[in-house]
Amino acid sequence: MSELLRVEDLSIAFGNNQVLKGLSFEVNENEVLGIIGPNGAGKTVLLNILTGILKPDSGRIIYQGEDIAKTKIVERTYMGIGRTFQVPRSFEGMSVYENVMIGGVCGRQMTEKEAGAGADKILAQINMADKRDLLAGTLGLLDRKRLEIGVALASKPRLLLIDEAAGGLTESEVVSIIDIVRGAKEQGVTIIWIEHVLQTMIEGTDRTLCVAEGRNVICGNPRDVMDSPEVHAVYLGTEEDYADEGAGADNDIAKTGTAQALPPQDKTLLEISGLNVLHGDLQAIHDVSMRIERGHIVSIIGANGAGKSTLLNTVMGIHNPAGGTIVFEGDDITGKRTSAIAEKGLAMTPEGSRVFADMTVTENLLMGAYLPAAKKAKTEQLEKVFEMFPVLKEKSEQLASFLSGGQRQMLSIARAIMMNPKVVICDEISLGLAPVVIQDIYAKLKELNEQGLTFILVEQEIKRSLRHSDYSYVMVKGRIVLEGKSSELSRSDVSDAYFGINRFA
Amino acid sequence: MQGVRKNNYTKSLAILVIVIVLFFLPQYGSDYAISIGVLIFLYISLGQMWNLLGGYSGLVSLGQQIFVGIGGYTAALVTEVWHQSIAVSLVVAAGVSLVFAFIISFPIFKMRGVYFTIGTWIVSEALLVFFRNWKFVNYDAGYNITIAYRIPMSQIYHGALVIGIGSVVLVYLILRSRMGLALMSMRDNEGAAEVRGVRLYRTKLYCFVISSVYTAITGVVLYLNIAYIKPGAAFGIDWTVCMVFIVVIGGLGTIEGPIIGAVVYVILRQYLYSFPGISMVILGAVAVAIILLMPKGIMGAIHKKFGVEVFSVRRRIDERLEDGS
Amino acid sequence: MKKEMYRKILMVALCIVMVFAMAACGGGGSSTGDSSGGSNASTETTGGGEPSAPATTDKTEILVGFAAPLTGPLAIFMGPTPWVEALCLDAINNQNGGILVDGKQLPIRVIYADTESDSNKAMEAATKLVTQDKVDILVGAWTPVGANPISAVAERYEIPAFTFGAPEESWLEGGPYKWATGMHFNYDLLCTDIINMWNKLDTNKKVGFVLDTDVDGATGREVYTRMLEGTEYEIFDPGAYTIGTTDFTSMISKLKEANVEIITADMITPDFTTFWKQCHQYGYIPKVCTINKGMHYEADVENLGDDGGNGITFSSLWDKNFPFSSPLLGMSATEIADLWQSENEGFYPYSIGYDVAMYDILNDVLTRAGTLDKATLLDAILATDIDTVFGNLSFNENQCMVVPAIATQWLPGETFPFEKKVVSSETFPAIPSYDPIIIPATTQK
Repeated sequence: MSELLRVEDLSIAFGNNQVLKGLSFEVNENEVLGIIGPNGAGKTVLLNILTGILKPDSGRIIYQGEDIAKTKIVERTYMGIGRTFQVPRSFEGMSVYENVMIGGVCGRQMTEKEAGAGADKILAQINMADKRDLLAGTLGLLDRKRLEIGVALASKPRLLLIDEAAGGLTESEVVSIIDIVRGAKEQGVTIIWIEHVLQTMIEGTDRTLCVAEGRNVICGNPRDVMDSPEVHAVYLGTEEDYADEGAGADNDIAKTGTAQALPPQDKTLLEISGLNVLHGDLQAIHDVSMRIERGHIVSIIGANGAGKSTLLNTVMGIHNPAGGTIVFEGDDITGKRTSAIAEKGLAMTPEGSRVFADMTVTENLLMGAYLPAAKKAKTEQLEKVFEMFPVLKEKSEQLASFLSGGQRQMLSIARAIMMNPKVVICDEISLGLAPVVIQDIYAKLKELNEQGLTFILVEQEIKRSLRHSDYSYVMVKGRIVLEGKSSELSRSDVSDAYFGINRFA
Repeated sequence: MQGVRKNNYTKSLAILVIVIVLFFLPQYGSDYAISIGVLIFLYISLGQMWNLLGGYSGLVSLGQQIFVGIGGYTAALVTEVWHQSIAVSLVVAAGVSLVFAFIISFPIFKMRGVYFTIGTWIVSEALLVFFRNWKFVNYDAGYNITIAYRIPMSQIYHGALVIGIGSVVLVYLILRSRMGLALMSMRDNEGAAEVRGVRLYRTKLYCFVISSVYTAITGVVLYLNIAYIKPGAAFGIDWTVCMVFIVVIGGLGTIEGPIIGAVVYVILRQYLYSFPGISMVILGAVAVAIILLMPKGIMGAIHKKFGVEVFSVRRRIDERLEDGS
Repeated sequence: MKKEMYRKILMVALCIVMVFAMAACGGGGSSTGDSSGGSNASTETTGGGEPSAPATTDKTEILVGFAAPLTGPLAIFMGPTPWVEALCLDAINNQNGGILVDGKQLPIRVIYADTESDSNKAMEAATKLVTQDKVDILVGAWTPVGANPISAVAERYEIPAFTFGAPEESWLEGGPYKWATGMHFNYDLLCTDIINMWNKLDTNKKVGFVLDTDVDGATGREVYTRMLEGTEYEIFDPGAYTIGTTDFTSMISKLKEANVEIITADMITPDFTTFWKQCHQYGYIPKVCTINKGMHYEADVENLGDDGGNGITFSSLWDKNFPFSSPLLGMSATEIADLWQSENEGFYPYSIGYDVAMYDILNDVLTRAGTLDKATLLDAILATDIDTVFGNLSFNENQCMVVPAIATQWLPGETFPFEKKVVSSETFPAIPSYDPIIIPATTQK
């Protein structure tokens, strides 16, 4: 097997932040190389350098025998380097078909006819032939990720760079992505695949490279790499998280959390009854009822499109329900303005953290203390928050855009805490984060919960949700199909409910 | 398959009939209708060219009056001062605008987004001041384009018609070509387009040059119609206001949009003669009202409600049909 | 299938509506006693205006279309127009019962279309008046922006046009005209009068140019240079300035250094106000200051301070002391100006003269023509020989009636802080003139 790409001693720094420190590795023809690594390790930066969007400070990139460090972005595409983006960048105003055609027409200078024929083949390959004429802006997440790969394939790349295609997808959706990548490999494409979802590394790659702190830590056979002490040291707890556990084992937070003091009189903090929410003509939430008790951590589990975010947004007043009520501490907050709801003590960390990228960490946190009640306590809250999240204190004067994914998530949570809320709603805070970071975050949540803060956690990952909560709800297509004390629910019950095997009538 | 073919034939036939009917307007229409027709067709052309830049390529220009002025002054100088024919002035206008578009593209294209927009306006204002002080173009006095008095209005009308319809055809062909795909992708996401292999600078340049040259040619006929040119009028920001109104009200990023917008604009302004003094206020109020009610313009609203698209730039296989049959 | 049909019908309907809207524009909108065939030879588009059969008597009024700057910077000229219109149409329509045309006594009605002080719009406005409102005569006024595009439209549609209020030379750039006529002042004559005025004063004969980069400035430079050649006057030209300049100090210092005693300026009023104030601050008061294009209004002179405007000379386009009368109104220039001042606030604006003269001429032309046939009207216009508030007017070979633009000086007045006196009118000897004075040293602060 010959070498298609070799990276030598690549380094790049952003301001004081040295992201890559002499990274070296090579990729052989027609192999799938997986790249894993904790957040902030520089994986996406690596892709940006390979495609030409960023220039490295030092190092060489040898592709097909030539050093391409000075080649322009467009040239590299013509040379056969294609990529997908972590957040899919499709052309929203154009149809799926047209998106794929661009790859051929512009990436490979084909005529429309050739590109069109090629596009049809690719649409079949990514299983989206039936969605051909839909506007890309209307697609859901899985479709966008598939389209992303399809567009990249349309320019007939020799080297395909995939940036976290599996993030945010359910297990079955991830399988379809792996299939697509396999199909591409069969066509002779060489692939570099960056991922967090470790399952994909084992099933989908030939070799795995682990990048941490800007360096090549270890590279080799996927299973060997996963088992290696180096990777354990980086991730701390790989096996624990993904070994199959039975029901009821090791629910640390669940066990200890509830034991703490519950306010005696009115245990119910938030009560949702018979909620119905419409998105245009589509009914997104059907007759949902939930009760969240003070001091609890409640998890809501469901696949993409189950309606979790819609539910949360409705509670926060961003959507108006078509029917049903939401009562918080005895007050009816159904349909009220979001600002009023926030004043009552509900805070949310939205999906994707959504920090204010052009403001510093401190400024972001101060934005959390915007409301009058929180404003008074802001200095102490700030101290408290810095104590709890030392990394934020360290980076307090840096712009939020320079934080890594996990750090942003922490900032988002910290910002919510600055509001001095009674309940914090967390929408998929573990998305795109490395396991060790997630552990860290959940530990902090536990701390806060022990101090009396109620949490509503929305997650896709079943194991994690059950472990870290007192009570769980499973949502499928806008309905609650299963609920119960987390310690009493078995993983298999939840899986079945999640995937729609209807044992519960 | 049959259904689509029939659909396309009916559409093409209807369009052809309309064009023929419009072509013969001088035979049966009043002088007034003809004069309105000239304005409408020329404004359609201005609108289409501005839409090509702003609505499809994402290049919002406030300076296209540069080319209207170049076209107008070419017509004036060629016919008044050098006593050549109008055909010569069209050729010269195309040539001068081509060169000028290339020259100013160097500095202007270095700017992005808002800076590009302001940059185009600055160039046009600079040109205005320059012309006012330039002996070669008779300073601020301008010219009467006397040859235009004797041209029968039917000829000017046909010229305008050709230019107007030509602009629609030109835009349609461009958008249905490979360059069209590139333009639309640039409009949606420039960074991604570049990574997919779109040569940004080159594509923008071609688009800009085509739009500018055609605007200049339109300018020639515009000024043959007006028959009098001064720097302030030729390079005035009013032209851009008109273009933006037409495109935004009609429907940004659609081909039908500027057609509807031009008709609305011209006819509305005719009615506003009854309200001197507040005519601008009313025009502005109408614009605001339409934008509030129909944010995507009139064509956008029609498309949303009825799914009608006269000139579609979507690529579809013949088998795929939008009706339920 | 239904959706498909629905869409097709809608598309066809849209198209039909568009076509009808355009065709219907021909009949809609205006209110005139609408067309009866023959009176307009220009219904068809091609050239050759041959007179057609005598007009039928279906018409109920004579329509005059005035493409005027109702808004924009030139709107100031239209200030007194409504007042003059009311006064004159009362005389024509009510007192005389209209004009005998094609066997009927018809009143005159004036329709306006706003040119927004813009030449592009002026063409559209004039076209609308001619093609939609189907006016009998087209009028355009005030600066070449008002006169030239209207003249072009008149030539194209072969309808008589009457323009006024611009320099004759600028208007003629659009000629030679067949259908458009003008009542304008002549720049050469204006300069002649000004030089005559300078001759009456005791100075060192050094003339300084303070001219803007506009076409008027360029024209001024050309004309003055030409007319002063070979005379005892010496020209000093510190260079043209851009309109809107706020700092004239370098120019003023040059003028002072060169010991220039006569200034001829082509400036708009705001620029001149700034310039003049800076002259005072700098301690530079020339003996003579002549300004074209600005300072026509008394209020502007007051703006220069209590005494600042004393002695400034300018080219006036009409004065109440003209010893002429309007035959239509039966009033002298003085009586008309006084009447205006009694019914309105402030010093009379000079544009009254133009407005009154226009009605005088229209009345005379229509009466003599006795028909609304365009060709006959044109002949009647060109044959005009009439006494107006400008004196006796008739058309020269350029189809232009040259009206006076004479040298006038602002002096302290009795009723108003400043009033103007004609100080040189050799080009129009019928107008009496006084001796000009040198700018008093007392104006120095």
